[in-house]
Amino acid sequence: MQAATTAMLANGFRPATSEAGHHQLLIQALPRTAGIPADRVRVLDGYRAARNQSDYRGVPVSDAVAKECAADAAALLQQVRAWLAAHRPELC
Amino acid sequence: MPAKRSPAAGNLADLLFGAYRRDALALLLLHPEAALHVREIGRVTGKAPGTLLRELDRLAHAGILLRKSVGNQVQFQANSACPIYEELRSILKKTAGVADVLRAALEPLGARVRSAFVYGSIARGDERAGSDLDVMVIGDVDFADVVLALAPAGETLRREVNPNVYPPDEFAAKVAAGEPFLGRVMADRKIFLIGGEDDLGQLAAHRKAQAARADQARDRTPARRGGTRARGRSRR
Repeated sequence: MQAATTAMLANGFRPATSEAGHHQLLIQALPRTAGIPADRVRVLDGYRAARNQSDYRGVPVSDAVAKECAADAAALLQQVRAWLAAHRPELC
Repeated sequence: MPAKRSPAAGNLADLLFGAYRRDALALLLLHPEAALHVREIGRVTGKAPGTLLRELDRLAHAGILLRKSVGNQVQFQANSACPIYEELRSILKKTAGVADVLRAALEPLGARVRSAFVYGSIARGDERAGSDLDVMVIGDVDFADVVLALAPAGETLRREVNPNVYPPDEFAAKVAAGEPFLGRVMADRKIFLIGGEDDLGQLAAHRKAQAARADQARDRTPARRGGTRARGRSRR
């Protein structure tokens, strides 16, 4: 979420974090804010939904999915860093 | 051992209903809150409005659908007062409406999926308009593969699909340890997509046998960690 927020801020937009749905919005904006491919975004949005289910409906995620999510989050962080270095060098 | 695919489940709906009737019934009976115009139904199901209207009129005449005029439009909606309303909904859910679509979506993942089923409100039959589709997938597959495989199905079914993915070992270990969420899911109603109750039982019991053996080994030493309690709870 922080990587997606950074990408949004680096593009000059501040997300309205007091409004419902800003997690989903930040993730779905990633193709525009950091050039992330659409299929990746679908998967990241799946993690977002799973987090929501876990926090608000008591549906836990498996250890395997948690591990996969952490790896994908690390990859996203790198991708956003790379995007910033290439497109917003003044912010790095 | 690859999971058994339920034979012919993919075309049970085709056998029982014609394509127009199947699609119209699946759309309207599984979204009972929606009153739709024939062109909307045609757009969602990809069927020609002329033939569709004849089919809808016939279903309305039989009392399965309600037909109402709104302005100069005719809208169709599921008739919850129809004597076989619940039974039809249940048949559609297990065939054309939900299960076929999800089963087809998971098909490309092949034998890596050992068991898959719908649980939660839709499996129980007490879903509401915005209810999500909860899908449990047990197998050696990544969450990413499952999300991408199920994404188009969510669009077809007009519901958000929430997959829960467990590798077989972790699933069996948690069931054996009496993990409360999986305990609830195991006891609750399910619509099986891949494999059946037996396959799922085998997946869960596989580890139970291992855990029992481990318990026996531990029994010989004083440091035993609540094996009896865990086994008692998992039977719920």
